[in-house]
Amino acid sequence: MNIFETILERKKILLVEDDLLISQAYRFALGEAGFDVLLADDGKEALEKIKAEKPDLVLLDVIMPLVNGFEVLERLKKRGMEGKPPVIMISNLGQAADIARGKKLGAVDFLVKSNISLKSMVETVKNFMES
Amino acid sequence: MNDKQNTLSFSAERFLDAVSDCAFVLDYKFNCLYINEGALRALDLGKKGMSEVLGKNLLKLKPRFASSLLYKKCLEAKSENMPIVFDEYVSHIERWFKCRIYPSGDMLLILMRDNTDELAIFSQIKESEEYHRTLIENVKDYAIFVLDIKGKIRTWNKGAERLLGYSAEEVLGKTPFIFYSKDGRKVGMDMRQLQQVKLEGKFEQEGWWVRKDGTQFWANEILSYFKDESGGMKGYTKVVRDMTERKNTEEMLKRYTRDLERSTRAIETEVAKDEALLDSIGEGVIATDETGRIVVFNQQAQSLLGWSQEDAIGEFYHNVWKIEGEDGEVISNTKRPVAMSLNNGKKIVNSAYYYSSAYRKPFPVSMTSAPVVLEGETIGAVMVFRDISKEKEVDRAKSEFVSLASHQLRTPLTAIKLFVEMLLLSGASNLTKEQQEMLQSVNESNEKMIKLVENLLDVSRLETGVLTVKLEQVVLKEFIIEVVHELQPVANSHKCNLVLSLPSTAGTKVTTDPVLLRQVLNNLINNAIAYSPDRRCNIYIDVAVNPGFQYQITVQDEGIGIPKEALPNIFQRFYRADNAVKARTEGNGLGLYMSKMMTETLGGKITCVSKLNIGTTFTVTFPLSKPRHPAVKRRVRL
Repeated sequence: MNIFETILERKKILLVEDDLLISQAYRFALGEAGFDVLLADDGKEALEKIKAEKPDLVLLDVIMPLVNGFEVLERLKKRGMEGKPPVIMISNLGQAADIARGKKLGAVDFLVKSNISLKSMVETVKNFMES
Repeated sequence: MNDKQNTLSFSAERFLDAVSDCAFVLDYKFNCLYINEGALRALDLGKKGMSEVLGKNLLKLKPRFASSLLYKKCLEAKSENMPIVFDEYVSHIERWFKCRIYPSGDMLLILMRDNTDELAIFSQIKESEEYHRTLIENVKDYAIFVLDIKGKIRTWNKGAERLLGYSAEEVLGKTPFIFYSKDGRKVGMDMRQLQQVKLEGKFEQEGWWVRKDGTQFWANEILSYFKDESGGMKGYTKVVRDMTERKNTEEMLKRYTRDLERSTRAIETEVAKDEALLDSIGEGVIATDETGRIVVFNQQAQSLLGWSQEDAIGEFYHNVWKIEGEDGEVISNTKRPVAMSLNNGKKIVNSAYYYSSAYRKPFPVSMTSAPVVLEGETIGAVMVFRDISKEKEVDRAKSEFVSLASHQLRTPLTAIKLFVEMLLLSGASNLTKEQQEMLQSVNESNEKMIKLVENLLDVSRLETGVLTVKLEQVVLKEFIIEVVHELQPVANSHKCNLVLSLPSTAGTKVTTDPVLLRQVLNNLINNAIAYSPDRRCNIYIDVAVNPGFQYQITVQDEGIGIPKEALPNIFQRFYRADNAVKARTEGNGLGLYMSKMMTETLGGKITCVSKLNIGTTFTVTFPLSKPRHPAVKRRVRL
């Protein structure tokens, strides 16, 4: 596998995160792990990029300007795009009710940012991509 | 004889005829010297002619004459030589005569006047007078007496005697003034009464009269006058009746009426008060009879449900409003709180219902329904409810604010966490060991901060009551195994041994909120680990089930223990025992506080037994079935 093929094989991840610093850290860690990282900093942009770029996975924050993470999931569900692409929620809302809501709307996982290290986050993404 | 007969002149005859109906003259031997037509008839000699009688002896002519009263009277008049007047009944003509015998020399002049009609009238009058007199005399219920023209008492009947207690002798000649009570007595009043009678013909009044013995009675008196034949005022009659009984009856009636009015007013006032009270309270109040028909429907109930009182009263309660659960499921009639109160005598308290009516969309309520029991029998139900939309909204807003604030606090902490991690990962080769240790400290502090924010969020939710309890059925055994399993890595890192013992009964299902229960157990086991020295300590987790009743989870450590004086305070916020602080163990003093609140929210109890340097045992006990008031929110003052 040459470098070219490797680049073509690289999985595309849409990182939707409005906090610049967190976005930067995640982009860095995911990039290091060999993923193609696209960025969006609100729900509206996320929906547009999901349509245009067809990412392999979406890391979706919840509390964001314009359209929040839950609403993004709702709209995807309405468009019949539930699970295409798969969505992992990344949020600092850590209550059981929030997690349950995200999963009910079709998210495959829910990561609480303050409780998970970059390493664990990357592990989770990798595990998901491999399965 | 003839001479004598002749002595009566024609004019004398005429005179005799005029003054009497019968006239005849007899000598002492009863020879008839003169007789007129009327006398012939009266003496039953009419069949004989005058000539046949004149000069004849009456005794011979009419032998029966000798047995008559007239004959006796003639003898009497002759012997006494005095005129005699008497009445005689002449049977053969059925007439009464007033007879007058005048002796004169040796003759008797006898004049008879027919007074039969007069006598009849007189006897009639007499009879009537007697009748009235007897009547008046004997009337006992009325005092009847006659007053003379000056107002003095002239007669006094038995009724008067009985009624007033005076005998006739005591009052005759006095005025009735003495009979009036002191209050009724006014100078000249009796005269004024007489005056009025003269003017108006009658005077009537009621008032208190006094008997001889001083007792009083309520009298009705009627005064009228009577006249003599010539139309002149002759006197007055006074008729007095004792009306005391009637007066008493009237008074009693008045009193009853007054009492009745008073109690009616009292009842009305009471009812008005109740209504005002019911209408002025902020809660909707609805009461039904034992069949479920509405009997009370207050102002607030009207505005909350949109039904008017007129329409609602008499209607079955389930036709007036519907109940839904929080999930929107309609509660069936038999399971409605009012039905439960009526049929099972239960008191229902609930804050998780939504009411709706034909006029209102579903709104959340907090309600209480209770049976109305009279002498052991349920005669109705009372339901009190209030709209808690606003509270729900406030709760929701509060919850949102707390969670958002916590989120916002955590975001920069997360960034710190990520960049420290990045530095440690990528820049490891460029950093000195000292710098790496410093970064490690930054990371640890940051982690503590993140934990603190998280706990503060939980505390805030518990304290504000925003925390929602979601009850589920879980298999106790599986649940405990899972919790212990998750904590195994932490225990391992502290070189602690988690010893779990489950009885066979732990396979039972329990109703609880798994999230809360997990948090309680996590706190207790984490504490046990944290306060155990790192030397192969055992932590025993025991489960006990009292079937059909409750279950108990015990966490026992062999750690540093809690000083006796600190024990009462361990469930307080931010409290940390001295030895815990000295042991440099981590903790923010919120764990036990939260554990206690969550345990109680689930209807359970938490207790602690500890001995310094020997170990501590925490026990939580929960009911097996549904916690009593899972939805009742806790309000704790901060």
